[in-house]
Amino acid sequence: MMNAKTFRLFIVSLFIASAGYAASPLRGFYLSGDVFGYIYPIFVKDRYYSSELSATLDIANRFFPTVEVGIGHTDMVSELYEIGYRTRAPYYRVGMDYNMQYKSDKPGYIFLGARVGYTSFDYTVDAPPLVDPVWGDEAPVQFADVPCRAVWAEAVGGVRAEVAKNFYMGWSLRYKYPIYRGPIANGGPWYVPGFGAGKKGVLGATYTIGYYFNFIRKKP
Amino acid sequence: MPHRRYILRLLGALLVITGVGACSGGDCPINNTVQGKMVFYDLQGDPVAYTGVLTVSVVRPQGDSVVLNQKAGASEVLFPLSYMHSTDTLVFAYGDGVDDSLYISHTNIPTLVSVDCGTAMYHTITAVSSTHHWIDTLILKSSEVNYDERENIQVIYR
Repeated sequence: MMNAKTFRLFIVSLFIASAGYAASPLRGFYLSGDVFGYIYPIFVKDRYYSSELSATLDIANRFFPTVEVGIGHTDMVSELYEIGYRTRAPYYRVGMDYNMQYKSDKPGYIFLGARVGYTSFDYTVDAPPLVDPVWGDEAPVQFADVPCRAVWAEAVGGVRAEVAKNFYMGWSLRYKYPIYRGPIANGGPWYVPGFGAGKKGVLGATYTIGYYFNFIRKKP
Repeated sequence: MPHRRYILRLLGALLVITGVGACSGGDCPINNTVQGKMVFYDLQGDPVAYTGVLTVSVVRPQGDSVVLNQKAGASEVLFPLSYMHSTDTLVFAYGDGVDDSLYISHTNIPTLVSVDCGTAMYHTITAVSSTHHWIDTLILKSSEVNYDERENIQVIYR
């Protein structure tokens, strides 16, 4: 499991390595939208949703600095415990991908990369009261607009393929690991926009469709 | 184009892997009861078992509720804390007509474990005290009462 220190070293080493290529001309620019957030609810109902845009620079066909901006939201009631959970907030990620096939000039590539994510959000929990099994009292479980911030790291692997002239689609699989979440009150949040549900490491995915703006003019 | 076919095959493989990952479940606590835990020690600090018969009750307005019934050789007690009160009283009846009362002050924390695992009432113990017929001292070892069932209170017997 990649811990926070290892992840920071990885990010720093990626940026240092890419600095040597800074003098190289930019080859292009990807603008993509993630549609996985719309596909996922087809298979998993009443959970959480997200929509996301990303901008990626192509430096020497090798380094791909990326900014991702999205909105994550949920408004659901769990079937088993009838717990209502509601939140909606933007999230942000920055990072870089590394083309494992940078020597190839063919369109499409396999990449490994990393991200750091951040969100600031409020969440509301509305659950049935807890019944004290010994004293018999009922305790309310309702938390309204609880503020929270979260930072997490992501290890990313994926592919991007050209499906038509300058149009690309791609998959990425991500392992997300929480770095900071707080302030924690009443157990903390269940779903964090951009991160997902859970308090430990989680798997995530993106399915992007985008356009490549080529900066390099081919000689006639 | 072989290169494009290779990439598209990888896209398909990632779709399958992602589907498997999306179906993985959450991790709910193994325990489903929130209880505090007391462990008995002698004056030298060694763990000790009560040699006689011990009954432990919690005091309630509607009548006492027994949480440990005439147990011989007890070395620890798991005890509930109330959801809406700030101080609970436990009575240790030793079977020889002698009792000790324990007073546990605590805060109550309604907690969202997760939407798939439910909610629970956690507690933070703020103070402990007792009468001293057989009990010498109470030591608050860990104030957090949740699903972990860690040792919260050390009961030092004379």
